[in-house]
Amino acid sequence: MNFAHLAQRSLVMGTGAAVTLSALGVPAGWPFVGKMYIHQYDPQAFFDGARTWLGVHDDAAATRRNLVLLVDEVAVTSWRSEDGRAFQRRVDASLSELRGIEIRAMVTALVLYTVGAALTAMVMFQFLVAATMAMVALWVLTAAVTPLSLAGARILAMQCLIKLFEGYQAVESLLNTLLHGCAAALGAAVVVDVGIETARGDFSGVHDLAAATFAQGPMLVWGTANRVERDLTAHGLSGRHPAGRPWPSTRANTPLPPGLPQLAGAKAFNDVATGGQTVTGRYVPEQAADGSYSFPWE
Amino acid sequence: MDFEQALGLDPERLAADADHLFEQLRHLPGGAETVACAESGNGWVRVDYGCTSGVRGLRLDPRALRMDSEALAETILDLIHQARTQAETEERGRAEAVLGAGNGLLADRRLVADQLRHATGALQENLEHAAATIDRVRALLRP
Repeated sequence: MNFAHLAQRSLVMGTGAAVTLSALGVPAGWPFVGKMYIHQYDPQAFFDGARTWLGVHDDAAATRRNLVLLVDEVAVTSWRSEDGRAFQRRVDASLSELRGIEIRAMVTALVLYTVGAALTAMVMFQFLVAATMAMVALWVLTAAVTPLSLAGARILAMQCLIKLFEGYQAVESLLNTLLHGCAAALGAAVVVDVGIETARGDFSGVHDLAAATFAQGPMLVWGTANRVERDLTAHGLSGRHPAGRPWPSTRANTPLPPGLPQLAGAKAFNDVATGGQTVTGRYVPEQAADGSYSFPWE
Repeated sequence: MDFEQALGLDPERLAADADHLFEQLRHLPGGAETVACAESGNGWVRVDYGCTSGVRGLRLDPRALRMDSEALAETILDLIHQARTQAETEERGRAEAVLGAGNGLLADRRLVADQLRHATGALQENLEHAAATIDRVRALLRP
């Protein structure tokens, strides 16, 4: 069993529990399903990425050490001419650049490991939540043996699930804060270098960044569309109109028209079964050999 | 990663148990309702109680009618309560035997509740610390 499979099992178990609880008159399980649908992760990709960046750090560090050794052999203390000083300045700039690469590679690896660890914890936490939901469903089934005890069991189960959802939301909010911080740190790791170069009057970094952003354009557009589709499906699963940004509406939190939650459920099932979003999943931009993405007109 | 060690339980088995439970619910046998009876110590009053139908029978020996009306009412209420408790316990046992026999969702629920209680607090704390650490890293990178 891997992370993605565990996350998938949580969604299946949570959905089964929500359906059972709903049939028993406890609808408080549904809000979990939309959330569990959103939090389908495979943290292994982040760990793999972090390892690659650690490799980049090690390579840059080895190159810097080799360069120092090489220069020490060449630039003897007696080389005090103008050429010697120019050579030393050039070497110092290269060493500083390599040091910058090391730091940025290490920061990137650290951030990726942090994201991977946080998503791993979230996937396992989510499994425990889904298992608890199934246990609550079984408890209601066995406790509700008379109409009177069913009424009591419904209230207790509802209270338990509301409390559980509050805890789930608190964890989700902290996870979102961390992920935003990580995204900003990754952005800063790129921008700091470009900023320093620009301050020195070297605009090549800005041009590279602009070119890289443009080359990733189709992926950025696809990623946004993919996210919108995912969020809409999750809102459909929850059975209520979305609230808050970016979905301002007077109908926020009111029930969706009949049929839509069922449609969202069928779509979510297909998404999980195929491992991609039903609509946007088919249009992942093809990646070129240099890592960029091709545009539709190309 | 060893999920069994990390979670303290076998997630694959628990998920399979949940699948089994949800599958079972589709084919639940109807079965007759559980009926329990309670009788007064002297055998003059007897109550039959059905889980879904409630009080199904009340038998009063002619000798019971000689009892004080207040005492008789109290005896009947006591017996209804006893029969209901007994019927519910029996029905619950029957439901657990059918739905929860060998099911980790029943056997491991205390463990899962403890794990979740512990995990929620620890996870929140760790996420807060991680976010603070990343913010410091970001501050270091500020040009």
